[in-house]
Amino acid sequence: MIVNIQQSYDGLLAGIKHQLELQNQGNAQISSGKRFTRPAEAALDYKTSLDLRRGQKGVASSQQAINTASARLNNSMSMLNSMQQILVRAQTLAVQQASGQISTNDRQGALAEIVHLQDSLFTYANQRLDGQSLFSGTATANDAFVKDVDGNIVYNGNAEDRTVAITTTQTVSSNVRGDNTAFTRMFAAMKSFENALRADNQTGIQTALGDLNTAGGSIIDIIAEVGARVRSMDLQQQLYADIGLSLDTRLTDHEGIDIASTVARLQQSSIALQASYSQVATLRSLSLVNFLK
Amino acid sequence: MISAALNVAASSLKAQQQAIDVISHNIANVNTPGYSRQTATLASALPESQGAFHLGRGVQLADIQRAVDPFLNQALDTNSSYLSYSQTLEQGLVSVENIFGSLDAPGLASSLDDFFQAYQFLANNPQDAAQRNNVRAFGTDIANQLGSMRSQLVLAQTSADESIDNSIIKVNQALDSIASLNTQIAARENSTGNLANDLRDQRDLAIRTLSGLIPVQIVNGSGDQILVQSMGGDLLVQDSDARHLARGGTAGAGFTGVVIEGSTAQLSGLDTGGEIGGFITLRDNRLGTYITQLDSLAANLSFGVNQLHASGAGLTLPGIVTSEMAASVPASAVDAAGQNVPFASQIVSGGFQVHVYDAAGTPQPAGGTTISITAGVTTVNQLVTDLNAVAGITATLDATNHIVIDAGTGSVGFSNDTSNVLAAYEIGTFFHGDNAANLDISASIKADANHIAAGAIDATTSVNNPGGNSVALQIIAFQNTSLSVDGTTAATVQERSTTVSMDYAGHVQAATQQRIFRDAESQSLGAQLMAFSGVNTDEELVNMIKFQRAYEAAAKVITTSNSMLDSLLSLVR
Repeated sequence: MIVNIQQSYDGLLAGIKHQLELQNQGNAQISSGKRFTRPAEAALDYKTSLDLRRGQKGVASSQQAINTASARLNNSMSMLNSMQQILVRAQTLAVQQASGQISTNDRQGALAEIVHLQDSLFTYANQRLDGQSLFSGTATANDAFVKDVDGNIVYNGNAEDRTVAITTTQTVSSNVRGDNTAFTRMFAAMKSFENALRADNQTGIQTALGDLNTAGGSIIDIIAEVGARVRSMDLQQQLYADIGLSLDTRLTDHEGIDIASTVARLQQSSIALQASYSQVATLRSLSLVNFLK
Repeated sequence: MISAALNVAASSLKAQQQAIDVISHNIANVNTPGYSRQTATLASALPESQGAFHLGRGVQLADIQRAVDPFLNQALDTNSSYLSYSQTLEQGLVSVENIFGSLDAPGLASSLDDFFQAYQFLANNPQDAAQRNNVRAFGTDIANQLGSMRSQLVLAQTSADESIDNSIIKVNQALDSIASLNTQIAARENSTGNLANDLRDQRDLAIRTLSGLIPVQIVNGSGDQILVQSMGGDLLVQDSDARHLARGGTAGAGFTGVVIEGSTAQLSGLDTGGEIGGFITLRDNRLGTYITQLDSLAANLSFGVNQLHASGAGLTLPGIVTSEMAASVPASAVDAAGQNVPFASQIVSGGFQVHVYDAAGTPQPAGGTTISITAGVTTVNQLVTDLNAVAGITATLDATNHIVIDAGTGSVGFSNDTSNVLAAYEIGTFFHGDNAANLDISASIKADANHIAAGAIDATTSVNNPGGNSVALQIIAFQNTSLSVDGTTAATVQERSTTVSMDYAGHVQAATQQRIFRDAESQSLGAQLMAFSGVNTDEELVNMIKFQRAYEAAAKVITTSNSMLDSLLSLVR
């Protein structure tokens, strides 16, 4: 078997090419901070990266959906709280006006306040967020409540809830619908109180007081329910924040390079490369021709 | 008898000189590809009988042998074929890598995520114009991305196909070379009786070159001749005759095949190795597969989304609706194959509701009108007639047989399509097209993002609630729904997208591994060949010194003999 100088050159060349590939790969990893960036580098790892990134997008979507639902529910709750305050004021007035010591003139004064409070309730019930009616179901272009020819306030929305998609399979209702009986009771009690005051009807005022108490209780019930839903949204927001953090960590662990080991590998490769270059120079002088004079 | 010594010395001078010539030839060809080291074999000349003795008559060059191992050559030829194949495949696949995106430059999977995420945002805020524009933009992005990927793959496929032409030219040159060398070798060896070493080296090299282009079988013919056959047994070289390759017939994906010139039959076994095999595999089995997968993804995405979208309604309803698919034979059934409507086969017996609104937006009547479809029976003309019978709208076929539904000053919407006829004829759909090349956003949505359906018209009241999101919810759920409208295995669009990338990645990795293995094999075999047939200049120089010394010794014999002759002649004077 002949071992000739050409074989040595070929072997060294193959080694140099290999070391250069390692250098190239290592430099790309260090500059990108990732173990791989292309599907061809690591097929299954790349797929895992896509799945994790998809998960991150899903979490971002869920958080955005929860924010949307929270905003609607919080605004709805603010309006309901305002309505409840109006009902408390109406109850106070009703207690005062139910007394036999109140004169007709006093009741007319109270009537003016009640009419004003009803207007405020009507305004609150037709509150909009981003131009969309809060309490009209999915008929968001409509005012939730309108006045009929008799001046009664009636529901003008539809019976569909406004849902938001937290995930592709999980939806939650993000609204309070105005066809809830609490709204009907509230407007009816206020109207009943107004009519009793207008008629200076003490018995009617006492009946209206009972209705206002019932309506107030109903509104408080809705506020409590919305509060629970807001709390649930907060908990879900926290949950998705945790999931997002976990995904971020997993993605970093999965894609990120171990800089220390990569640099060490590059250093080893660099030494091998230099040794190969040196050996090429050495081989150049190893020939019998140099010694034949 | 002194002259005998002179003759012996002269034969030595000649033989040593010839041996040095061989060494010189070796040194001269130390870097010549395919050259096999040659060795001069010296043998003593036939002795001369003189009385009871046989006196030697010197030395002569008996033979010049080349160092060659046929098994090693055959292994190198085979490996050359596989190496070229994997190199071509790897290079071809790497050249299209950018098409599949990277973690830094989002690809198709990311665009699909963005599209469905945008639809999710729309579901949460159906009245938000920005979300509608977002959905339209990401839908357009998917269509553009699929179109761009497909066109780049087609371009790469065409390039691979054109490369085959260049390779065929090289194959024909190699075949000609082998045939010519067959002739030259026969002529030289028949006239001298000795092996034509250099010509055989050249023929071996030509065979190796040929093996790198196409997989071949070498059969030893009579005497000094060889036959070259394709892996399918087609004769390519016989003695001095070479049969050229050419393009002809039809191969995979509609490309022209490879035949033997003058023949129409496809050359078999080409895709098992060699550069041409690499190009064919790249063109048909890799790039062709990715194109098919992209088309399948586009078809399933288009029909899947359209099926849901067609039963929904946008924020505003159009006054005129035109189907984006045209019937080819209006008198035939809506689902007839002859309609040339890509998703006609998806139409089933069922129906849909048409909701007509007056100029004030009041439904006329509430609850709409049901149009029934019977698969295989209801014709396009019948469908138009049925639609035309709905009060408030006129339905016609335009000059190119698109269905046109005109509500005049009012508007029209659709719901509850259980027949798929709306999706198939692209009436109120989101996408237009059925493959990666022609996928686009529907003209209606291009013109007005308010036509993107998030909710649906109430089937009972015909009310189109702006805050409704039932269709949007179904569309975002569709991303996790397995579907097949084209005979492929049912899968989600995300799975289809991932499959394309993963198949590509798997193919590149396999080709790279194969190339590395074959490269290593080539280096190993090359080293073995070098060890067996290569020229070692040191060894040649040492041999040269040996022959030089022998030459000097022979010259000394002549000098001595000459001196002896001088002495003899001086006795005569």
